[in-house]
Amino acid sequence: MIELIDVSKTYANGTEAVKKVNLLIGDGEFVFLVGTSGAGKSSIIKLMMKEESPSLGLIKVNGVNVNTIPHHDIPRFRRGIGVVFQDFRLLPDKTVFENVAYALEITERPAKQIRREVPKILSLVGLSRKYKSYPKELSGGEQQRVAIARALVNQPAILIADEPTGNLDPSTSFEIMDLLNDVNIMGTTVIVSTHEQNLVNKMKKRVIEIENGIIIRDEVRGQYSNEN
Amino acid sequence: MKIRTVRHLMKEGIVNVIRQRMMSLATIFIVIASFVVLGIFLILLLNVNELSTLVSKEPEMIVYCKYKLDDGEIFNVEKALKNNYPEIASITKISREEALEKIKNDVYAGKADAIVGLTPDIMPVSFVIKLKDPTQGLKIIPNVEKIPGVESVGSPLGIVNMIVGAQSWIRIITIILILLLMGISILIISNAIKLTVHSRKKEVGIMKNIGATDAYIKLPFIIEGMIMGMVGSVLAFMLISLMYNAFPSNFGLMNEGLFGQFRLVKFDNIIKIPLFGIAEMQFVLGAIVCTGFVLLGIIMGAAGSAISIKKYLKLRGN
Repeated sequence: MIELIDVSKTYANGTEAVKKVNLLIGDGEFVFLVGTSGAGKSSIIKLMMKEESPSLGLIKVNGVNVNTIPHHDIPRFRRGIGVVFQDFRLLPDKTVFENVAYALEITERPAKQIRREVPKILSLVGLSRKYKSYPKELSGGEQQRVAIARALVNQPAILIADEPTGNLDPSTSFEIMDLLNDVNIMGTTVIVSTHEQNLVNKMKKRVIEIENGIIIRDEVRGQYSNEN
Repeated sequence: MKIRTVRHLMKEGIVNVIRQRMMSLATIFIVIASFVVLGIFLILLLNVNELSTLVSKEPEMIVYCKYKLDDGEIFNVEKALKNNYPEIASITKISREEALEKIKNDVYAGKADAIVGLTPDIMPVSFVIKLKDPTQGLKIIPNVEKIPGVESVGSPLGIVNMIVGAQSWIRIITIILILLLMGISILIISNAIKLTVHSRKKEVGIMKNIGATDAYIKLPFIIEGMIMGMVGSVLAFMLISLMYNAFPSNFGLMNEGLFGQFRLVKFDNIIKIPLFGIAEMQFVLGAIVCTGFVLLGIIMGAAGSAISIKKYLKLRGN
């Protein structure tokens, strides 16, 4: 569960990115964060991941008060959240297998377990046969699948995807969204930030719209915008 | 961190050095340059030490009698030295025969033909004098020269004092230089690693995002620094020993007198190091210098990396 209580974030340059946001995302939910660029979606995601600290307010993720996590415990906290980015962020010198394995290596899992877990997750995202390929040898959609596999391999309770389809063509975007939906059905809470109207409208999931750092709409089975 | 993980990260560090080979080579060359300068000063210090040990073994004063003195007059000179100079700790008489023998062995060694027919008569009797306090030696020389029957007084004390004085200065300068060079090397290595880290900032960001600890991110970079420091220092040591061995061990200009006996310290010299007064361990000097160099290189490489990656991780905040 993710809880934001009266959360504000003002950056050093004075930009007020998030203003008194209150938000509750329950376990197993699928949520779209929508809004224009600069609306505050990415700031909220960064706050959830403790990449930024709130200027005011309280954030709780999986029952943990994120505000008070000591610096040395941040890595452990992040392992409980899988993250996927628009630019995939794969390690270019590692193969598909190694990229996914990396998330397990940092948690010091035994090699045997890594050899067992990675193929399982690669088959889930449909990339079993490409485990030896390097990121540059893959299409955008395939790279994003690797990123999703890496985010899921530690079996996080929450998966956050920040504009996951921003660099993909429409049909691939739908495939990725289907994959995220499958992940959600298996029990993972999924939060997707996007400004792709078609995807949001097709999925019919909870939609939270943000504008100028404020939540202006929160609908259980929403559309991308009210105008639709 | 588990041993298995450390081993894995060490491998990563080695792979990174090879992958970023141009950057690694540049850093290694810089390490070599700093260490060669460092080595030159170390060698200078070693040799000045050796020279000062050598001169301290020399007699502090030699009083030469006039050539034609008879035994009675020589006895008077000895008596005057013993009675009038409480500064003297010991007097050893060198007879004409002993003096000739010494000349044969030291100066004309292997050239016996040149001194065939020489008799002890041509040599003066002399007294080798050890002083209680060598620093007072120069003060009594003028008075000793005035003793009837004394031809001249020889003393390397001036030179000894000069070398001892220079030794302490060279030691201070070398220590300052070593510290300075170490500082510069750490800075250079740290900058080189900073470039490497910067070129991999995306990677570091990804590692942080997926929950890698700072130690996990840092270790491969530190290993990288250690490898570059080690390779650089080993190559620097090889270069220095090559240059040093090519150097003539005995300078032509210094063949005469006191310096005639001086040879450059050799890296294959065996030196003995006492262990708590119980036993003496024998080491080859070169091995000690090389080990010291490599350890210093490794430590400096690690320090340089640790500084830059720490700064970088700090800059990136959480």
